[in-house]
Amino acid sequence: MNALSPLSQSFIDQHGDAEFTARAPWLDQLRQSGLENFSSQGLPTPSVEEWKYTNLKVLEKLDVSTSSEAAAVDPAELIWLPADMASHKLVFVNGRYSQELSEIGELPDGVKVLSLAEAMISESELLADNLGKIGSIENAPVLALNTAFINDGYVVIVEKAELEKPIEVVFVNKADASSSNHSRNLVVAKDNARATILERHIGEGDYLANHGFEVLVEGGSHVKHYRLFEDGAAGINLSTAKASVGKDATYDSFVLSIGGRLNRNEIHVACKEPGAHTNLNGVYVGRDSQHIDNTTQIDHLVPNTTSKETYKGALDGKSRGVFQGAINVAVGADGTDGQMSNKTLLLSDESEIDSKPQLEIFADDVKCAHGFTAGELEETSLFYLRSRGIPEAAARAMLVEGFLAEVVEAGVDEEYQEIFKAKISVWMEN
Amino acid sequence: MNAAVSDTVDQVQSVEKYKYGFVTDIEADQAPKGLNEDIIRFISAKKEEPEWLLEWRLKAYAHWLTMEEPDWPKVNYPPIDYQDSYYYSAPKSSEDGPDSLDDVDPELLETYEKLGIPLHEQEVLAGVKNVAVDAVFDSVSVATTFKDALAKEGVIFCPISEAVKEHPELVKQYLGSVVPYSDNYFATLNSAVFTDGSFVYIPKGVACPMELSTYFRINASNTGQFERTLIIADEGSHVSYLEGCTAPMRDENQLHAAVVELVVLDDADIKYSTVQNWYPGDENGVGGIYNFVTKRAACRGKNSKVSWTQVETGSAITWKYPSCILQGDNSVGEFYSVAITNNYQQADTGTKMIHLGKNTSSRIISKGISAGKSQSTYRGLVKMMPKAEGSRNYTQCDSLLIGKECGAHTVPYIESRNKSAKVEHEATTSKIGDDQLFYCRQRGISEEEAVALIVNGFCREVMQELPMEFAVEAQKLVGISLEGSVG
Repeated sequence: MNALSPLSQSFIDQHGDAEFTARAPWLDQLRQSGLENFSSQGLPTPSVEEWKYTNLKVLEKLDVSTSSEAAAVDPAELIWLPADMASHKLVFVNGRYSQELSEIGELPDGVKVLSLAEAMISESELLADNLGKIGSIENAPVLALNTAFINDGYVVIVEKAELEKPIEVVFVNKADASSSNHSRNLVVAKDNARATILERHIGEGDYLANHGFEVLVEGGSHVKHYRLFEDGAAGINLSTAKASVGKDATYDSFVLSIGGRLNRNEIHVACKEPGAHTNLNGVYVGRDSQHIDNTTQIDHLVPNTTSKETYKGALDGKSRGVFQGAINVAVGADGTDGQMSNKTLLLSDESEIDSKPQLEIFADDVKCAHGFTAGELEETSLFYLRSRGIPEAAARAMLVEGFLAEVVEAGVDEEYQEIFKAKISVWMEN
Repeated sequence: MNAAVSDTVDQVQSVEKYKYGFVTDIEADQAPKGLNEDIIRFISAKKEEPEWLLEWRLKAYAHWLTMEEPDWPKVNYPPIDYQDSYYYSAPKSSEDGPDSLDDVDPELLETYEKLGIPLHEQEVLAGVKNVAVDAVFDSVSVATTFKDALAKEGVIFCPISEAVKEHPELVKQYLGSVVPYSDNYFATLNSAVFTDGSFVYIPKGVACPMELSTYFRINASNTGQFERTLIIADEGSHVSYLEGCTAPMRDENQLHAAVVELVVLDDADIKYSTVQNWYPGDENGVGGIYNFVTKRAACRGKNSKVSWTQVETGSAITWKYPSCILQGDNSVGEFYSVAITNNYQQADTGTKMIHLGKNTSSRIISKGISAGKSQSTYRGLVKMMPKAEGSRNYTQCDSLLIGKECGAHTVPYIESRNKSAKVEHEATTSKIGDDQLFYCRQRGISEEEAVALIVNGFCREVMQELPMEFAVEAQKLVGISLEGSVG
């Protein structure tokens, strides 16, 4: 084993002094297993295949080993949904639930939306059954680190119920000095449940936000998980989501990565029972020296499960995009249909895209395909618009927006599309 | 039955399972088992090599000792004991070097007859084939035909050991310039112990008048074969080169770690075709060749072109990535591959296209067919460097699965750092459609014939890139390799 980096070591040291409010013997044990797993390997380096294109060395320079303190937040900066859109709202400041900024409101029967700290009291059993069980920390050192520091996050439980209003979650990071936090979130949907989660990540200053998500969707349920990453210019956001999809259930994920110095968004979906389906969609736009990494893995473990995945990006300045998508089909998983596509527009001379769309197939009666393209805007399309009197800059913007909006339209319910499209338009204007 | 179908049926019937699985009983001159500096000195002395080459070998060996065997390919095999192998084996009769074919051991010639490679020039002249052949048997080249005709055009085609003596300046200039001695574990091992292989030099402006061909044969047991091929196409020249390989059926695994280097200068092109049919092991996965090969082409000149075409049906394990470094402006790289695995075979193969120059283009067509309990992986890299203005790549990887127990994997790496470069990649995986099979069966074609027919259609895009000589053989191989995979 190689020696751990100073930062990895200081995370381990910090763990000894950490004061956790959520306590239970099984939870201490879970944290310990996370710590041991992390201690055995430390933060991943590019020599680890899954981290070939994303170097976490930048973290060492920041030294984000201290945990974040509470900070004052102006409620005005949290607003991102249209004024007439009602929601069940949760706000987390530096990884900790803020009661005063949140407004969960009334919930229908069979629905629980609360912070992990609260759930430790009222839903201890359900937490013990699911936390750390949906997502394995094997070969996931960043999630192992998150597991070592489990303390707060959101918990959504929906059983035999349909949630009309979306659950709105805002993660705010405010740091005076560099710091880190590790939120752990859990979504459980059973018995034809329906829920939509709209999640936004914002921040200021040097920080590491290391989020862990576990999502269980079973028995004909449908969970829509739409996320907007708008981190501050120096913010580093590492998110690992692990979803388990059961019989006739669907997990939809949409990710818009627009901010932050480094954003790694990892999603693993296991289709565990026949009829399971997942849609993974994403848009990434980058400029300056932003680094945006979307890493996904879909495991088709049983017969007759399907997946569809589309990621598109536009990269400007010196930004670098990474897409690693894997579709795995297990022995006997006949009738699998897995489609994956990744397309990137390079807008500047110094931008870069690294892509690895991977198929690993052990069953014969399957339909799996992936497609990849990279390049600049089509000259002919540009010419078409210009010949109709549209100035070049506007024509370019139209084409790029149209290219990206396609994924928003395919991946997001109509009522929420405008929220994400508007963010892309603002990015284009800059 | 239409012509195409009866053709396929005839072909499948005409060839038995692995017809190259015989052993030729020839007394061999072998170096002692094992690997150390003395063995390398022994090989070098046998070849009467100059001092610089011995030093190069020793440097490679020293470096090899510091390296670790790679474990990233998707292949499984028990650890190789590098000391339990002979690194030099030569048919004894050729010790002094045959002056003409008459001096070659008749048993050897018989071997090549069995392989369907007529070495006799008169036969060749009689119009049977118009191909110059270099035959490599275990560690040495035994015969090269057509030398005189080639010499008239200024083409050099000879064993590399001979080239070291006759054309040291060319060898010294280019050997290791594409695949350096420190490149990777198996290439480094090859640099230390390579015994023979072909050397080709095509002078400026010459289109090689005939196809050049090398047949590699591993015969002796417990030997590794480490051949090294170097082809240089000088400005404006053209050559088509064919490579074929076979080995006897044995229970043991034998290592074949070759290095092929191609150098292409301005306006020149090389077409390199391989039909790899090393012994794949039996249906229980016992025996077979480990084929760990490094092949790389440097398109150094403007408008240069390299085309790799490979049909991989043999070997217990194949691990090779014929690559192109597209350095010259407007240079072109192509990779056409069919990889068929059956029983317990494992293949991890693909290509690398590194675009450095302006307006360079590359095309990758890969067809993988897995049957039985085999595993087949396409692994490739397409890299657009910042200066590769206006470059293009198109990649298509299709996999076909036959049976429930095999696997097909696709692992492409795509890295683009130039906005004007266009990269496109498509991959699909599927099985033979029930409707396709039904269509054939309904017309009275047996299931096995139907599979061969469909698979040949699936591979057509690659097969049609092969020179005529190889295309027929390759088509037959497709049928044979898949024998027993259905029903």
